[in-house]
Amino acid sequence: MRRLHKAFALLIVLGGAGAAAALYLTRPQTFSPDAMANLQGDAVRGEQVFRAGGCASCHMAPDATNAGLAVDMPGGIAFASEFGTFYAPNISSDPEHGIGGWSALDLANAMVRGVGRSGEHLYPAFPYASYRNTTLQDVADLHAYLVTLPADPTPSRAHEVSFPFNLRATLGFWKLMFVNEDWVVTGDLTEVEERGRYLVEGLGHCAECHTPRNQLGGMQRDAWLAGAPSASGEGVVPALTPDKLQWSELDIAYYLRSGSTPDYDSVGGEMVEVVENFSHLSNEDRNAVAAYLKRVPASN
Amino acid sequence: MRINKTIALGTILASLSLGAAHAQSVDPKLVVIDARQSFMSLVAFYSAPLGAMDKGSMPYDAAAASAAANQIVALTSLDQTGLWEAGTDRAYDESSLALSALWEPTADLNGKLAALRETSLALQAAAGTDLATMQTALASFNDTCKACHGDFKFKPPK
Repeated sequence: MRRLHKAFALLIVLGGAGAAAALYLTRPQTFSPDAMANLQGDAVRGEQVFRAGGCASCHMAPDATNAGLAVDMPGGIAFASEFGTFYAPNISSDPEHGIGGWSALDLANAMVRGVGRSGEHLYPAFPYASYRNTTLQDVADLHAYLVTLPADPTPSRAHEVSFPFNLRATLGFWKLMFVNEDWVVTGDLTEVEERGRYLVEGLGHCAECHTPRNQLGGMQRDAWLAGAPSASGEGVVPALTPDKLQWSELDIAYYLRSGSTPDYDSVGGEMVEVVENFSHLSNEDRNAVAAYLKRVPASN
Repeated sequence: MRINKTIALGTILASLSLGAAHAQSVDPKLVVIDARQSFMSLVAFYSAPLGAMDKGSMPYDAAAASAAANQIVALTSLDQTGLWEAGTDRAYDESSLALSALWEPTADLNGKLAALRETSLALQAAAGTDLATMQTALASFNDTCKACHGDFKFKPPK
C-alpha cells in the first residue's frame, strides 16, 4: 500500500511538473520592454497600415457603412464561430474603454504576439496569426495614427466562448501549433513580390478567409489561398491561386482599386470593405498584391 | 369535308388552349427578376470602355467615353419601379441574387436607385473632360453599385 501511495504521489508530482512545463512553454510571449524604444511613429504612414490591415472592417460600429472612411472604432461587430461568438473590442482612443492608454509596445504585443495588455492570450479571431510578421515600424506608425482617432466611450463586449475554449491557457497550445512565423510562399521573389507577400500573408490577412481551416481553426498552409467555406456559413470564399483566379495582374490591381471585376460586375459581400480599404493604398501596393498572387502555388 | 372542318376546329382550339397554358406558365415575378438582371448586364456592358480606360488597358478617348456614359444614362433613365418590385428576391426564386433585406425600409432602396441615377448624370458630364475627371466620376458611380452588392447580394457557392 505504501508503495502504491508513493507511486501515486510521484505521478501527481510528475503530472504537475508536466502541466507546469506545458504552461511555461505556451505562456504569453511579449516583446522585450525596449523593443520599440528607438522607433518614431508616423501617423500618415500609420493610416496606410490601418487600411492595409483592414482594422476598420472589424472594429467600426456595427451600423457603419464604409470601412475605407470610418474613423470611429467602438467595436461591437459579432463574429460567430463554432467555438463561440467573438465581439470586436473598442480600439478608439478612449483611455478607459478603448486603447488610448496603450503604448506602441502594447499594440505590438497584441497584434504580433497575440497578447493583451494584461498579459493574457488573445483569441485568434483577432488575426495575429497573420499579423505575426508585421514590422515594429509599421506598428509604431499605426499606433501614431490610432491615437489621432476620436475617443468612443462604448464598452467592449465580452466574448461568448464555451468550455474549454474559454480557458485562455488553451490558446497557448493553439499558438504553438498554428502560429508560424515562416512565410508560406518562399523562393526567389522580387522586391515587389515580397511587398505583396507582406501585404497578403501579413497585414492584409487575406488567408484568414481565403484559406481553409482545420478542425481546431488553424489555417491549412498546404492549401494556401485555395478557397474555403465562408465563416458566416453562407457561400464559399473563392480561391486566389493562379490556377483558379486567372485574372491578369492588371485586373487584380484594378479590382482592388475600383471594385470592378474584369467583366465589370461589382465587388460584393465582405470584399466591398476590403476594396474600400485597398482603394486608399498606393498603386504600387495593389500591384504588389497582384504580383504576389501569381507566385502562390496552384491549389489543384 | 365535315371531318376536315372538325379537325381544323380541333386544331385551333388545341392551339388556343396551348397558348393559354403557356401564358399561365409565365410567372410575372420571374419576368421581373430576368429584366432586372438584364438591366444590370447592360450597365456592365456599357461600363466596359470606361472601366478599360480607368484601368489603363485602353487609352483615354473622350468621344468613346462620352458615348459610353450616354448609354449608361439612357439605362438609368428607365423607370426603375417595376424592375425592383417587392417580392422578387432570392427568397422567392433562386435565380435572383437579391436578398430580401434589400426591400426593408432601412435598406433605402429608392435612395440607392436615386444615387445610381445622379452619379450616372455626373459621369455623363465628366466622361468627355479628361481621364482624371472621368475616373473620379466613375468611382462614385461604382460606389452606388457596391452600396447594394455589399450587403444585399447573395454570395453563390462556387
